[in-house]
Amino acid sequence: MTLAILGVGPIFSSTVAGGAANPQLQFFENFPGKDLVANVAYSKGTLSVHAVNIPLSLSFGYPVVLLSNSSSGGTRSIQFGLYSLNGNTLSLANSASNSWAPSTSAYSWISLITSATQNITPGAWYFALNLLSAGNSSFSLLGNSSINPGNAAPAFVRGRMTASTTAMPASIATSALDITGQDAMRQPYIIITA
Amino acid sequence: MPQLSFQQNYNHMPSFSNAISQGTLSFIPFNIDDSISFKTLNVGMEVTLSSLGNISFTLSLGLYSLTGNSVSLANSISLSRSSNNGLGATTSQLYISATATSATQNITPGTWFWGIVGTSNASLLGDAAWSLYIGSLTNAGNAFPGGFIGGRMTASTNALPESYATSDLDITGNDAMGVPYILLSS
Repeated sequence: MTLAILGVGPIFSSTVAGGAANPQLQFFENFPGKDLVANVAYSKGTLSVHAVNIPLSLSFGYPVVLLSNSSSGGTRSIQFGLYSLNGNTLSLANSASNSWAPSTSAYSWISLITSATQNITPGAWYFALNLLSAGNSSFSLLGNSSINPGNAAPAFVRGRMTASTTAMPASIATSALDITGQDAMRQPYIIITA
Repeated sequence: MPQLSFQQNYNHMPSFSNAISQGTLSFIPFNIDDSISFKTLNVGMEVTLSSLGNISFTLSLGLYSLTGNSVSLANSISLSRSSNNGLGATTSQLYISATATSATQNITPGTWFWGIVGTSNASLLGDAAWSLYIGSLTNAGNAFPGGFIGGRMTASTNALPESYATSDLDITGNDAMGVPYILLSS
């Protein structure tokens, strides 16, 4: 007997008859459809972090951000951290970074180079971003333009470090994060592709 | 395995309209979180009619899987609309849906791609424009540097290809990378 399978899916790490054992995503983005509002300024050396739910497994291939080239001032770098949350502590699972000089176009995609291979498992993860430069105090990334609530968010979904940093910390206590106000609530657009 | 009753690529209807160029096929990424029966496809459209008469268009959508550097057609559906426009210049914002898939399919979870191409008789009757609603008009100056997340064919076509090499697609600019709203429901 021949079993005909319709719609056997797109990308699988292993395939069994009738469905995939571990379906894989080709991409995940924190703003579905690149549904972006505005340029959002981020101060250099100020790490911001926000929560995402990744519904299926995803190979940590290419984290990509969308940068505004409006600022001058030479070479700058972006650091990305992939964190998991245990209790009240964020732990660094992986990272990526890259350096670039602004181009003449209004916006540029910047792809970051990962430090280790990883097949990200489904679930809640935390994306952290930090920007560094010798010549600029801040940069603009495409992201959201948050409202400015007067009180702290009741559940931890985003925040920023109050201490300046030049590297992704191995761990961050969520109690040490600023979680109040528009500057703490901003999220840059990030897409990870396989 | 759980079944979804719907899957959409935005959490709301986006508000920017992006004109459909006839004969230009675009591939749109679409993540499906669990299995879903392919029953109904919906898009959000803005239809502008500037002349009188019977104007019709068809939007063909193909469901594609990605293997390596090639997309392959797994299923298809088309949405058609015609308007006998006796009112002169009008603009309408609409959901348009269709249910006649080319094959029965329970779509498995993962990343799929919609190939979208539009055709109409508008050139015979005067001005008309069809736009899909997308989330952003941000126009990056460089080609998308990551793995394949869509693009558009540079060669003109009115039909859905059985397969296509992703390396032959334009992946620069919002005209190539814009993502229209798609709602899939079972």
